[in-house]
Amino acid sequence: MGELQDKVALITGASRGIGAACALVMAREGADIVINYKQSQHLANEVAEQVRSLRRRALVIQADVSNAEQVSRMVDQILEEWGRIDILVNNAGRHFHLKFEKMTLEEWYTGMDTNLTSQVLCAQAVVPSMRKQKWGRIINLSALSAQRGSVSGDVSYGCSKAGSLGLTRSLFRSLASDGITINAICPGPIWTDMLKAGFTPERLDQFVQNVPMHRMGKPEEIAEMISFLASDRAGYITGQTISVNGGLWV
Amino acid sequence: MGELEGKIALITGSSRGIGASCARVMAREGADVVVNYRQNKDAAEEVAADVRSYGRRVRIVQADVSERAQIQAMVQQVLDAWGRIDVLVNNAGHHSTQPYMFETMGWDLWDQAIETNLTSQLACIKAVVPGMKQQRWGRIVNMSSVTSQRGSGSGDVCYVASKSGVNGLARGLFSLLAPFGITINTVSPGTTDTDLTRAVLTPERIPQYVARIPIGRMGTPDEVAEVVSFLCSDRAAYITGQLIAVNGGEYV
Repeated sequence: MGELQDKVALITGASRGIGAACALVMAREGADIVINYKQSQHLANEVAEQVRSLRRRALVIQADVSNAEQVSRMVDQILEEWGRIDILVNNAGRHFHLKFEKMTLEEWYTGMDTNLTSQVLCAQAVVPSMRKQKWGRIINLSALSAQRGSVSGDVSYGCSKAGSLGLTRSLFRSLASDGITINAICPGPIWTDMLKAGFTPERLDQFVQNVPMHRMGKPEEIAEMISFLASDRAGYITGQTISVNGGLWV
Repeated sequence: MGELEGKIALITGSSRGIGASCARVMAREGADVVVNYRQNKDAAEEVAADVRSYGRRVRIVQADVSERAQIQAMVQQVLDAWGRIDVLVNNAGHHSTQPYMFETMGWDLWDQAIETNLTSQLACIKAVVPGMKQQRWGRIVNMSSVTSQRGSGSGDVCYVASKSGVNGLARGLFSLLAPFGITINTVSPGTTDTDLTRAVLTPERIPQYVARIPIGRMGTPDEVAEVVSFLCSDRAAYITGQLIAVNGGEYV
């Protein structure tokens, strides 16, 4: 029996990277998985196949989670087909590379919408049914830069990721009496497409030198922490920010 | 296959409370366990029986962890019998059950808190690290307390400062140990339903404490043990130097 036996988990942005790793780890632990994606349908379907090969159910749903209507439609579909949502992994998000002095207001809003508003919309959509069943788990993906601060001065990304911590702290008390925990994860440098796109090989090497473990993290290592938090084992942990970063920040 | 399959775990102060829960949960996850106790031999034997019921090996070792020689003897005994120690759970701790006034307290109260809660943890770490370095794998989890984060409302400086010191052990050592595959983390339990908690808080005061816990109840020792088990597994290989709080939202 896995630690998530028969739970239903919605993972946003699950076609790649940390989201895809969550799908596989959580399926291994016995959960049925909703794989949300925005653009990469082919990759999302591949993840679904892997979930099914672990003998769990998989549902693939396209939705831009920064859009309220699309989030609402997605959650309605899950409730119709599977009857409930036990776990929300607020993972969808993007890195931006904006120079602060040149940042436009539109770029600011896009960053906040993609990374933070999306988390708020998804949480809002799933909380009513979690309250009804008096059980739920919400895990918000934040980032190392929310704790350490940004190196590049990318305010849109930095503020949106810090906002995830605020979302966690704003909600944990009001959810507690209904058996719902909400926590945030700050991953360190994790080897994903997003990281590869954001840094030159030289910058990545520099980065890794600063990690006491002298290596980057694997997406699975974030997924394992998320799976644990989503389980009954972690029912007394809420409002917390947990860092998985090889000791890069304490 | 459990998350700790085949690992050997030394848990100090595991005859009762959180330590005993750690022994049971870690045995459930596949670890062989060393149950260390100071006085309560019967309780230690009960815990050992539970470990055996999971099909795991167990050794009961008496040692007062505030005596450095006894720690050395304990570790040597385990190494002689089982060849290695993979996991150290620095759980043994003390809290005075008599209330004291800061202005009039004797220095012995301070000395005892520091010796039993802080120095003993470092002494245990020193004893197990050489073996962990040699095998390039190790897990150390130090038990702290929510009081180290939220402070004390009653001037309990001895306990709070000793546990704040515990938080510094992982922060002081994580960098040195990381290249050897050894992680060291702190677990900070909130108000947990154990004999120790009930001895320190009177029945009248417990509801006051529970009132400020969003989840509305004390934690169970098992809930602390589950995090300890996770951190000691391969699943948590990228987590080090961190403090993880298990407190029902009592402090964030």
